[in-house]
Order: sequence, then C-alpha cells, then structure tokens
Amino acid sequence: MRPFRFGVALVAPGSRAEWVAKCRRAEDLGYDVVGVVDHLGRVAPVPALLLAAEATERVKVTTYVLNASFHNAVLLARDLTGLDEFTGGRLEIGIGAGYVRAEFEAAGIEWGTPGQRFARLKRVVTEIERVYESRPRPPLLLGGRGDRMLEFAAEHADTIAFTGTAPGAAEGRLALAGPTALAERVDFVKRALDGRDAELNLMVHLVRITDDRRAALDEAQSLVSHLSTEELGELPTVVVGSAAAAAEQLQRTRETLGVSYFTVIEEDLTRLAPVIQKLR
Amino acid sequence: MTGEFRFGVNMVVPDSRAAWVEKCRRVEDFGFDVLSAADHLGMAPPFPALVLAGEVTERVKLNTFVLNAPFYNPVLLAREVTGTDQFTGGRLELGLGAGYVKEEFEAAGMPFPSARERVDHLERTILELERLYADPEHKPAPVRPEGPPLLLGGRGDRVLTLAAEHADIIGFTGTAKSPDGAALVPAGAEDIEERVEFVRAKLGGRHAEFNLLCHFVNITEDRAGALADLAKLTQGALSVDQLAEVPTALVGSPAEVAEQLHAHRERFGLTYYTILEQNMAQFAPVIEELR
Repeated sequence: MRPFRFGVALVAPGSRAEWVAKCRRAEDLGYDVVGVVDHLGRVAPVPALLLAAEATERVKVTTYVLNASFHNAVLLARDLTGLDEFTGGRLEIGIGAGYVRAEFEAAGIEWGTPGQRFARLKRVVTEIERVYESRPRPPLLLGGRGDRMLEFAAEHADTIAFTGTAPGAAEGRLALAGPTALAERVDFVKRALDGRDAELNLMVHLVRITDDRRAALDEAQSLVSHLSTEELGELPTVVVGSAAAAAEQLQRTRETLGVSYFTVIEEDLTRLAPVIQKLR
Repeated sequence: MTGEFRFGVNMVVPDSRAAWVEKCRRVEDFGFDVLSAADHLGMAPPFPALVLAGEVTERVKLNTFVLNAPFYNPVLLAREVTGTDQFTGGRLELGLGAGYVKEEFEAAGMPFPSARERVDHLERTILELERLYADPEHKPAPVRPEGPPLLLGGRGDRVLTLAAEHADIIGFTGTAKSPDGAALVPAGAEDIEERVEFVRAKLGGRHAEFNLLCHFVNITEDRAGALADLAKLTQGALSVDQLAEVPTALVGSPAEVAEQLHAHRERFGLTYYTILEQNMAQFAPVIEELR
C-alpha cells in the first residue's frame, strides 16, 4: 500500500502576499502537494507554481490540472521544463483534457469533439515525454473520467486522477459520481494498468469535520441532490464526520480502492488539516 | 537610477536556477533599471523567469523583451500578465512584438503567418489586454487599473503606428528594412532617425519613452580600433563612419559612451537602452559614469 499524500488545488487569484501566505499555510498544515487549477478568472498556473515553490520548503508543486486545449504543446513544454529547473525539481505535472465549454468560448478556442480534445491532450503529453527523453521527467498525473482518457492515463501516467464527477459536472452544479460508478472507474483503470504500479489520486469535493455527521450529510445532500444521504455517507469524494471518522474513511478508501493521494479544493484547505494529522 | 536614462539587460541564456538567480542579482548590483527576458524557444519561459527574478531582486523592473505575440492566445496571455504583475508587486513591464523568427513558428507547430497577419494578431492582443484590464470582473486584476506599462517593439509602419497609439514605451529595433523572415542587419543613423520621426508624428505630442535594443557594446580606450573591428564583424553592413553614428553601437570609454548617449538623446529622443546579457558587466561603468 502506498503512503498517503494530500494535496490542495488552489484557485483564488490574489496579491503576492496573499498567495505566499496561502502556500505556506498549506505546507504548515501538513499537505504534501500545492496544486493550481487552470481556469479563466483563476490564478495563472505557471507563475503561481514558481512563487509557491519559492515561498515553501518542502511541498511539491503541481498543475492540477492543466487544460491541454489551452496550451501549445511546445510552449507548454518550455514552461514546464523551466518550472522544473527553477523549482529545483519539485514540480509535478498534471494534465486533463478540459471540460468547461464556456471557458473555451471566452478564450476563442474551439471546443471541438471529445476526440479532438483528447488528441490535444495526447499531443501535449507526447511533447512532454519527448523533451524529457534523455533525463528524468517530473511525475506525470493524468486525470479524467472517460474510457479513452483513463486508458491513456493507465499507459502514460505516474499518477491517475479520478475526478469523482458524473457527466454534467461542468454545468456549475456539484455532479458527483455515486459510490458504485466511482468504484467502476477505479476497476476500469486497474484492469487497464494490468499489474503496473501507479499512484491513484482522488479529488475530494466536500470536507466537513463535525461531530454531527447526520446534519453535515443532510447539508451535503442539499448540494448533491441526485444522490441519497446514504449514498453520500459511503462516497469517498465526500469526507464528513469527526476527524477520527474521516481518517478512518480515507484509510478505508485506500484499502478498498487503492487510492492513496487525496486532493481537496482551496475552501477545504483548513478543514482537512486535522484529518491529515491523524494519518501521519 | 541614472536620471534621464534607463538601462535594461536582455537575458537570453537558459540557465540553472542557481545561475539565473545569481545573474539577476548581478543585473541589479550593476545598477541596471530593468531586467528583461527574451521569448524564444530554447530559452527560459519568460513569465516564471521574471517571477523568480522578482523574488531575488529588490528594485529592478521586470520586462518581457519582447513576447512573440502570435505565440499566445490573448485571453490566456492576459491571465499570465496580470498574474505576473500581481506576483511581482507591479514591477512588470510588458513588452510585445509581432514575432519574426520563422523557424520558431515551425518548431512550435504553428503556421508562419504573413507579416500582415502577425501585426493583426498583435493588434488584437493589445486591444484584448486593454479590454480585460478595464474589466472589473477580470481576475487576476492588474496592480494598476490601466495595467502594466506596455512596450511595443518593431520596425514597420503598422507596428510603430500601433505603438504610438497604445504603448508607454516604443521599442526601436535599430535594424534595417529586410525581407520578411530574413536575417536582421543594423540600420544606419538616418534610417533610425526616419523611424523615430515617423513615431513622433504619430504620437502627436503624447509622451512615450523611446527604447532601443543596443546590438553592440565595446567599452574600450581605443574607440577607433574597436569601430574598425566592428565594421569587419558586421561584414560591411555599415562603414566605420556609419557605425560611429548609430545608437545601436556603444563604443568607447565610459565617458565617451556617456557623451554618445547624451548626443543620441538629442538626436533620436532615446532615453532607455536595452543591452544584451553578454555586455552587462562591461557596460556597468557607463551607468556609473552617468550617475
């Protein structure tokens, strides 16, 4: 079983001072990885990771995840090799195919078919593999939900990231996959890996540390109305309960699904900290 | 600061982190005002390089010199620019150009657009940046409402017209007119003066800082000998007499070069020089001389 790793996906843009403070806070709270998303209106990922590494001592820095369609493969490879060098090898690279259609439109980039978006991702990954042919490549995380994407990830990635979402996630509501659907995706990847050892990552969409689990699940259910409270209670992407119960839940997820690397979104940064403490 | 002048160094060599940090500190210690990152394949990526430069220096402005605009989607570029502006505490000066190295477009897997299309893209980029800076919803927000100072560099009428309309800093290339995609050769003084006058007319009284990329620096007690060497080096593109006149060749003792800079300011209105990285150390006494 792999050791736990905990990451946070930072989103909010801000001043240098705010960004530095946030990255240091993530490190102080025990996170292993500081990640940045790649969305319009959010932080600029490449400069942000440079500064994140400057502001911290220990954490890895990662793109979580780059939208492959937003980037020219050759220029992105220059950004990533530059970051790798400038962060002293603390970079991890996370890439996805992009899923928010409105952002493509705002940037004037063709949305295209899923096949076209997948082709862009392949081109980016191929270029990264090419520039690192003769030297050690930073760990590569590939994330997604569909068969084609996960098969490709099983073939190329050091870490495979499950979004934990159901179709429709991009439309602004929290559309989480149910426990059965998520387990099915994990099984799919394990079959595709065919014995190869890869790290499995899961996006945790909601963290509530509380002694009143029932009330917190009800609150969660109001956000994720398509799942029942019972389903939410056993969903690995929703971590609700006391710190001890949450820690047990993550241990159980690691045992049953083999997922050992968990990433929360920025607003849950502080909430997960006591759980991380318990798992060290 | 050297009073009426500003001096920048254009960094072009890809480096290890340690070498980059050390070099950035030297730029500042030598008294330069601006640290610039070029935008070419095979070199460091400009924005993270400038954020790191900002972290390890105190004072110097941080400049892209110049971004190859057609490489970038304007909306994504805006995020990169305002993000870097924030992370460097407003020390960013954005330099844009229309792009000119055909091989790099090929290497990036992009078609090499015609000169007209490249300038069209540059114009769209400028307008899109201005629009997004002014949009209160745009995040990251620029440090100043009008965005970071804009340097536009180029040679042709259209680029310089755009520069006169939009830029805080006009970047003259000091190169002669040449076929698109061909190697660049230095322009004579009259040619540079003609470009400067073109911009002055377009500016119509609006103030803009005039920048020049200085191709040749030789700080020496033997100005005549050095100019003769330079004439050979440039393979007769300009005669010794012509080289003695151009602001793109700063040759002589620190006092002589300081004198040339004052003369060039009178003639061309140039007050901001960008020199190449390899010339940084030898140029430092000139900055001393002008203090």
